[in-house]
Order: sequence, then structure tokens, then C-alpha cells
Amino acid sequence: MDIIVAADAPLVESLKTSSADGVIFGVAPFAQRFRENYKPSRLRELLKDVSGAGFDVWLAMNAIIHEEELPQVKQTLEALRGVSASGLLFADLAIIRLAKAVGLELPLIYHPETYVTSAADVRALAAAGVDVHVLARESTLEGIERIAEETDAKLAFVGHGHLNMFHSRRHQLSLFAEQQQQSPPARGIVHYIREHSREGRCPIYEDARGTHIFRPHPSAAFQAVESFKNHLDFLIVDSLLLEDAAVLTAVEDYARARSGQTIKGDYRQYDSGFLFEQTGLKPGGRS
Amino acid sequence: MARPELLAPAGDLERLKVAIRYGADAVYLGGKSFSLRARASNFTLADIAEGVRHAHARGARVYVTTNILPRPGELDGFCDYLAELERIGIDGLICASPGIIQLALQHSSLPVHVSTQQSLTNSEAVNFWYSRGVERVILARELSLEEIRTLRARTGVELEAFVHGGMCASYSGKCTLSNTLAARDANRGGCAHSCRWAYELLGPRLESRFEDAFSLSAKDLQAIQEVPELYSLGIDALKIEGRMKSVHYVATVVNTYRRLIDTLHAGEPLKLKTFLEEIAKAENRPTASGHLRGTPTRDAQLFSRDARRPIQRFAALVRDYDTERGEAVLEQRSPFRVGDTLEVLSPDLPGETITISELRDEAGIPIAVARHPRQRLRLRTDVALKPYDILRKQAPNSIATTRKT
Repeated sequence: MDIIVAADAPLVESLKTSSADGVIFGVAPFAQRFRENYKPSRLRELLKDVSGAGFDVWLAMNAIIHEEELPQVKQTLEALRGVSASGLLFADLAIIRLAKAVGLELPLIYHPETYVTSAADVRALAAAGVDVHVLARESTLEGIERIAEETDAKLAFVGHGHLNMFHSRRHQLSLFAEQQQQSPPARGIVHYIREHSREGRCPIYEDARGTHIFRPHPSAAFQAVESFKNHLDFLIVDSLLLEDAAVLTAVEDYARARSGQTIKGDYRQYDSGFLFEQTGLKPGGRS
Repeated sequence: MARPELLAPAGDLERLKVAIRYGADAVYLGGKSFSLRARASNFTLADIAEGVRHAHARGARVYVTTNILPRPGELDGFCDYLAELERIGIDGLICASPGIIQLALQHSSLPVHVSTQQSLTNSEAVNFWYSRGVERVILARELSLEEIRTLRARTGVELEAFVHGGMCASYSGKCTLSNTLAARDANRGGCAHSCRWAYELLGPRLESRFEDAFSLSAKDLQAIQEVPELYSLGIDALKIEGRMKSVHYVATVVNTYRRLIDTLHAGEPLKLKTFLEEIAKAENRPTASGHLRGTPTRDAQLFSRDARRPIQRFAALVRDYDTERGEAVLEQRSPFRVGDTLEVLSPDLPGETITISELRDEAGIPIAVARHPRQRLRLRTDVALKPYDILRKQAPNSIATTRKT
């Protein structure tokens, strides 16, 4: 199980001497929910810079693509031809066709966030050319284990970080500001929403692609590492909304957990996502 | 120009029959398994078979939703279910999960429609599924008319667009707000509609407390004014949302869009105001045109101060009519009284009204007010009503001709 970290350039400098096995860079303007996105020309520099670190480098174009963006998506993919990356992470199925059309030969990593929930999904997408499948964020550990046992495909899971739970094309904060006769917040400025009967504040921000809302607490998956070692190929650590120091500590702790050592960080503010959570169709998570 | 299919929700057999009575070309429904909307009265296989018989006898089609994103183990029995649906003779499957789509393509000859839960927003993604053998794609509700027009020109697959009903605030199928905040699986049928809750918003730039709460909620979609453009660009199907909605809602909405499509197709002059007035009678939440006119503005959002509830006008459902006696059997849905003038909603009786001069209960005893929900009532009238016609309270300033009983 490799540890892959979604990163920006400053964080990668620190990761070079860490136990991370790989990094993910966002490709501008078709990555979303990354600390920073980079144009292909800058990515080539970054790839050159990290080449000595022995990293796998995944490039992310995980936006939901709208019709008018297709020509620019194609141009961007063309510009990535020949880069020394080890995979292209995407969410929109258009990428499969366009990457093939432009002759981009990077392994394809499908990360739609919700759609890979069963072995049947993995098999369907593998048949369409997907090389690595990022399992749905609402997966339970039991579900991950079962999918892994039922397929031979390479599997990944976002086990650490602020999990996104909502993406609207609407600019919800700006619309509310307009309603309140206030000026809209700048893009990327994090606010929080809280429902009065529930604990925790959910981070919310806008960017060019709409509004994004995250779980109230960042998630961690240390309790699952022993199982992940046998069932996952890649554990993804998402650095969005986390401090560099917290990310670096987590990376080292995942490496420790992977080799059976005791972790050192303080994760009391973290939850475990959906790994051990009972959710269902009725109130209280009943089915 | 081909006439687009009008596709209506069927929450149960009664609403299936109502939708077809009021002009739906097709209905969609969920079975007991593999379908979202767990709280809808989903159909048994026997119900589906009866629905298919009813629909096919009237030239309508039935699509079955298998649109959950299944967890491991939840696809057990799916191929047997497919075989049963094929034997029953349904006209298509609506699927969201890549695995379910693939299984349906491999293990049945049923036409496969890709659900809006896949949030397909461009022609390349649409053609990805077209190349794998699907017959239809139900487009994401985030698309503008202009985007749909361009996309239409770039694919040969059938395209379906939503024109009416509830909107997800998030891209559909990608939301886990309900999973997180209510432990209810949005993508397996348990959505708690957490996007419609009131939230406190905490700065740095904006602040809002509960008394003037922040909301993510979108107004419902209503696309009467956009249907002419959807028709002209060659959309294949127009969909109404709402498997949980009432008989009155289904009847009113289907009837309105049916008449609108037929008017367009006949090339007759279009008086959109008439259709807008009619569709407003079905509203249970404020409406807007969603993304069809481009990025939604503040007016398309449902902030708490806008959360008005339209007046309920559904008075009674016609269960039977005895032509010899000139007597209708009604089922009460909201109070009305002798002296009230009720508007008839019927595909066969446009503009008809009835003023109630006498009303009896099921035993034949005269009553002044129909106040009991679902009470069976007898009404003498020479208006030749039919089962599933609807009586509703007349809107203020209505100018319909009134006929006395």
C-alpha cells in the first residue's frame, strides 16, 4: 500500500524527505479541491524537481466538465503528452475518451468520489480502460475489503483529510450575500455552516466551479491500515484545509502503521469517515 | 420535428394510472429493490406487471429505476430481477451505477437509460456510455439550454432533460451531505434532504444566524417557458420529477406539459401565460428555471424568507361516474362545501366547472361540508366525469364558465 499525498509545491518540498510514496498535483484549470493547480508548463518543472525523490506523481483533472470546456480539456491533455507522471486522476468519463483521442498514455485513475461502490463498478470501469479505481468516499472498511476480494484491479481510497460531501454548480455563498445585500466573498475563502441540532461546523467555500462543502472534521484511517495493507494499492492523504505540519505527521504515522509501529500524532479532532459508520435509509442510519 | 416523450413519475399504481390518463407517454417507477426513493411506495413485481399491462394497453411505456449506487452484496439477485423485468415486458431501465449499467447491458436486452444521478454534463461523457450500448442519457440538471443544444448536435444517443420538479442543490449522485449529517445514504435511497435545512453561516466575510438562516436549497424546476426551445433543439424526452408527489400534482403537471407539447407540435399559437397559470396550481414549493437559462441567480434559490406554501386546491378525486343517474362518486382530499364552485381537471373537459348544489355521503345522507379526508361522497352532476378526473377549488378571479348541478 503506497501513501499518496495531494499536494502543492511548498508541501512537496517537505514531502521529499518524508515516507510518502507519491504525490498528486492539480492540473489547471481542470482540477478541483486542491490547494493549488498548475498549468502543464509549470507541472513539467515540478516533475523535474521531484524526479530525484522517487515519487509516483499523479496529475489530477477531476473537474466535472461542461460542454464548452471540451476543447480546452483536449488542449490540456495534449500538453501533458510525454510528461513523466505515473497516472492521470479524473472524475469525468469524458477524460477516458479524450485522453485516448490525443494519445496520452498515462494510466487512468478514476476518482468520481461516489460511483465506485461495488466490485461490479470496478469491473465495468476496468473494461473501459481504467487502471486504478478510487473507491467511494462513503465506503465502509468491510465494503472495501469485499471489493478487493472480488476484483484484481488496483484500488485506492482517500483515507485522510477533509472529505468533500457536497458540490454545487451554484455559487451558494455569493447568492446568499446578494440576498443579504452584501458583497460576495472572495473565491476560496473558507466559511463554515452549522445545523443547530448537530455538532461540528462544516467548511464551505466557492471557486470557479461552484460551492464545495466538507465534513465537519477531517478523517483519519489509522485503525484500518492493517486491513488496507492487504486490500488497497494506494492510500490517499488529502492535504486540503490541513496545515503542512499535520499532513507530514500523518504521512509518517501511516508509514509507521504500515510497518506495525505505534503512531505518534494526536488525532482527537479527527473522525474515521464512513469506515466504521452505520448509515442506512432511515433516521439513525437504520435500513 | 419529432414530438418528445413526456415522462412522468409513478409513485404507485394509482399515480401511474393518473399520469397516463393525463397524457404521459411514459412513466418511471421504482421496484422494491435497487431503486432510490426508499420512502416512495415502490412497486412489487406484480404491481410492475399490472402497471405495464395498463400502460401498454394505452400506448404508454414503463421504465423501471435501478438507480442506487449499491454497496458490496447489494447486487445479489440483480440478474434474476433483470430477467423478471424483461419477462414482464418493461420498456427500459434507468441506471446510475457503472456496474449496474454494465450488468444490464450484458445480461438483458432491455434498453438502458443512464440516470441523471451520473451527472453527465458533456458530449464526451455522454458518448462514453452511448458507445457502450446505452439507449438514452438523462442529462444533468446543471445544464443550460445552450449547453444542451451543443450537446444534442454532438451525440446520436437519445437525450432526456428534466423540466419539472425538485432539484438537487448538489450535482446529483455526488452528494453525501445526508450520509454525513443524518447517517442516511443519499445514493441508496435514504436522502434526508439536508440541503434544505437551515444553517448558521459563520464568517470571515458573511455571517448569518438561525433567525435569518443560510440555505443551500434550490427552488423546484419549472420549465414551461423553456420547453419550446427544448422542443426545437430536438430533445427526445421531457421528464417530470416527483415519485413522492400527490395524484393532484401528477395530474396537473402532466396535463399542462401534455397540452404544451401538443400545442407546439401542432404549430398552433402558444399562450404561455395560460400554461404558467395552470402549472402554478400544482406547486407545493416555489419554482424557477434552474440552470436552463444559465447560472442560477438569487431568484432561483429558496432562502428561508421565501419559503411560502401555495394554497392547496385539490378538493376531490373522481372515483366513478354513473351516466344514467348523473352521479359521481368522489373521494375527498381537502374540505369543500355546498355552494362552492369546483374546477374540473380532466383531459376531456378543459375549462369545465361545477357548482355544488347538493352533496351526500356514501349512505346517501345530505351533508353541507366535505371535511373528512378520503371520505367517499356522491355528487349529482350532468358533467360526464371519468375516474381520475379531479375537482379543485377555483382560483380567485377565474373566468371559466360555471355549470350548476
